[in-house]
Amino acid sequence: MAIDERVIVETVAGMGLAGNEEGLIPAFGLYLTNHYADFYNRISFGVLRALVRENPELTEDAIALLTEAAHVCAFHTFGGIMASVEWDGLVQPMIESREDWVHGMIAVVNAFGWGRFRVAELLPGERLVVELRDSYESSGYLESYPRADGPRCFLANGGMAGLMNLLYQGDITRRPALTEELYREVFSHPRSFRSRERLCAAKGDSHCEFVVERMQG
Amino acid sequence: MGKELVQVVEFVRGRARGNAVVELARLNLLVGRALSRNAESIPDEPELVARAWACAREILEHERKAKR
Repeated sequence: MAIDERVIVETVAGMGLAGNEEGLIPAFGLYLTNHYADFYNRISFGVLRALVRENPELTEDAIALLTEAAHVCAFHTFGGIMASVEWDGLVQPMIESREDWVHGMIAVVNAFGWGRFRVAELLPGERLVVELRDSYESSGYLESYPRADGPRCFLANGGMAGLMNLLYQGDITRRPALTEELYREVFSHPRSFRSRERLCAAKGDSHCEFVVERMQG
Repeated sequence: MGKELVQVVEFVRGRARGNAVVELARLNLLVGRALSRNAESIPDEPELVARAWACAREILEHERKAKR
């Protein structure tokens, strides 16, 4: 593997990424946002609670929508990053294989400080297992609620599926336009990827872990 | 039991242009019942059926407009 995560983290850290007066960070070809993780958590978990307050039977539906939001986010954010001039300058020269795109994106995510992600297994075109420590979603959940009865890292979970879909379903290496049509084509495909958060610190596990596999079609 | 509600679920499932699972989750949440999983066992109460049809049309219309 040619990806040098240390170089990527140090370079991104040295880019001086910071929010402007609107809280936006123009970098990697898109606008990242500069705000408190707890703010996001409060909205995300508050939405979950509000949607199922009167009928806990609807929990899986609320999670389906939060996961869909994560898929959309991953499609545009990861897709945008992988099409950016920063990616071309920093990560692309290290890439020797399609799988290096996954490792490169994970390195960029770690550089952003979204947690400590580590690829535990990558079976090309078929399966990805990612461990996550210091997940702001699980730690944020435990700050406000008792131990969860299920996983709670909805954004990270959907993000990992998005990464595999961009690479092996949408072929981001060919730099397609990130349109609504492409999103629908990629994520509605019967063999597209979905992620399952097998371990989650919010439910008492030592760390979080995502298993991304193709749907059975 | 739930014949019309099953029709509503199949209406959304069959016409969703994106991920049908997501549109059915929207239907369930808007109606306040897990129709996509339990429609067959929920009685076809007129008020519930009318609400389900209205929500189904709203979801599909919203989807159609969003994809223009």
